[in-house]
Amino acid sequence: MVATMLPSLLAGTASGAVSPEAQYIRQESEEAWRAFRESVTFGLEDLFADLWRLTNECARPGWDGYEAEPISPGSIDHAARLLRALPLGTPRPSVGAEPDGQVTLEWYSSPRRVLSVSVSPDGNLHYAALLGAVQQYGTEPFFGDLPAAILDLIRRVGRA
Amino acid sequence: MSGGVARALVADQEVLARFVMRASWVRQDGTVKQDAFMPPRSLELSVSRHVGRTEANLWARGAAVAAASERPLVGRADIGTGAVRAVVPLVAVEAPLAEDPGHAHIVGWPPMAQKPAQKALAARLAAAARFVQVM
Repeated sequence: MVATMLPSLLAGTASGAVSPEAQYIRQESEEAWRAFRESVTFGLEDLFADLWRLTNECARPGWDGYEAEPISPGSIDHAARLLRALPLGTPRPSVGAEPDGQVTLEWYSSPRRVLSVSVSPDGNLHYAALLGAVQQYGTEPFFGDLPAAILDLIRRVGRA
Repeated sequence: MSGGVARALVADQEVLARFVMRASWVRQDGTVKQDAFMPPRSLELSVSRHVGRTEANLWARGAAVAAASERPLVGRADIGTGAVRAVVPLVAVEAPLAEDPGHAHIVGWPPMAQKPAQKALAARLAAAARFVQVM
């Protein structure tokens, strides 16, 4: 599975070309690359494929059509670590990116039950959750284990 | 940046468009993620006013924004100016450009050091927005 996916992900574009910017980001994201190769063991290969795709699609300034900054290699690295740290049975997030170049992970049930986590290049996790009429937001440091506060929010988002 | 000069507020009855170049900004149920409404470091979130535009003209503006990013246009996230003002302290102000006289900014964001607060506001904007797929 990984061997099949690797050529297309390395290609990055329909033409098979990888931009210089994307190459730089991938070279700087050693942890993410190693994690991707191991991801099949954890059944997370699709999430890592989405993460890896960001390195090509968000490599250049203005990738959003406005003032977006290139995706941060440090953010990619920490996001890969965070995905690997998700406890078994945790609902799977969707992977995205923000204009400041940080990777985002979103857990979603409905428009009023959603958690978004931004992974900063220095390993801080900035989060904001909508839980019905209540909002909760803050920052948790990431030292290798998913912070309890964020795991709690993931569970609360999933409740009806 | 405004350089300290006050800019006119966009009227509450207007509709604003945030063009979307990333399919991952739109969920499978057609709702918009907060990623689409996060501010850049300038703290001025670019949008285009619907007023005075035909649908074709609006999509032409979106195509121009997409062309600049070398990414395909996926659609746009529409939000009423009144809905923006309901997300205190955000407001929409006129910010005309030569290439887009209907350009506006959503301003009033907390500074970048307060990212969680920015995310909380962007989440509320996204919840109030409606995605329109490109035709």
